[in-house]
Amino acid sequence: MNKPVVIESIIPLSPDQLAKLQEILTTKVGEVSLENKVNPLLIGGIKLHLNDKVLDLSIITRLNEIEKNLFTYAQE
Amino acid sequence: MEIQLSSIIIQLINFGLVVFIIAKFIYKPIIKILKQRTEKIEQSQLEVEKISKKTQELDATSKTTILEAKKEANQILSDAKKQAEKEAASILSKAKADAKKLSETERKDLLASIENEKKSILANLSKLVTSTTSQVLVDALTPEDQERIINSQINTIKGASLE
Repeated sequence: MNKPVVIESIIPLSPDQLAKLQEILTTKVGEVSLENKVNPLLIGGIKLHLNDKVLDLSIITRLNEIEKNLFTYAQE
Repeated sequence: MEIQLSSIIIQLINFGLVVFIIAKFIYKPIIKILKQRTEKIEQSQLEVEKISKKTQELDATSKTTILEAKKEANQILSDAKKQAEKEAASILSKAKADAKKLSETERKDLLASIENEKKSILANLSKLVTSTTSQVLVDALTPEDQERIINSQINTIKGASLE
């Protein structure tokens, strides 16, 4: 049974990109079925959802981490 | 004029009688009264002297007592003054120490307040930085840039763990 994978991106992924992802993910976890969702809040990059795991490579998450690190530095 | 002897004798006898009567009935009592009066006066004088002496003694005693009382009062005043000065110095010293403590406490509070403000400012600054950066990236990143980023990340997934 194909594992459902949701890929969030700021712009729709091209067929080449989807194919490449399909190949990589199949090698890693087995057969997958990809679903692409556009999410402008990401600002840039992609976010993968596989079962209960999330691989967040989006720019917004990077910025939030920077903000968190700056805040932690400020509290010290 | 002829002076008759019998008249003279009678006059003499009369005179003698008068003197006798006066001596017996008037002179002696008068002398007695005078003597009594003199004695009384002398007695009174003695008493006056006694009283005067006693008064002088009392006067001297009261003066001594007053002097002693004054001395004692001065001593009490002096002791009270010393005690008051001592207490005033102690109160002043304590007040100075309390003021110093308060200043230190206030200083610490102020420093803590500044530190908190600094942290708050830095926290807000970090939010501002990320917010501004987000806005800039949204406006600055072209679709080509987005493509490049996505492609780069797809390559990254090759090495990432998904299990």
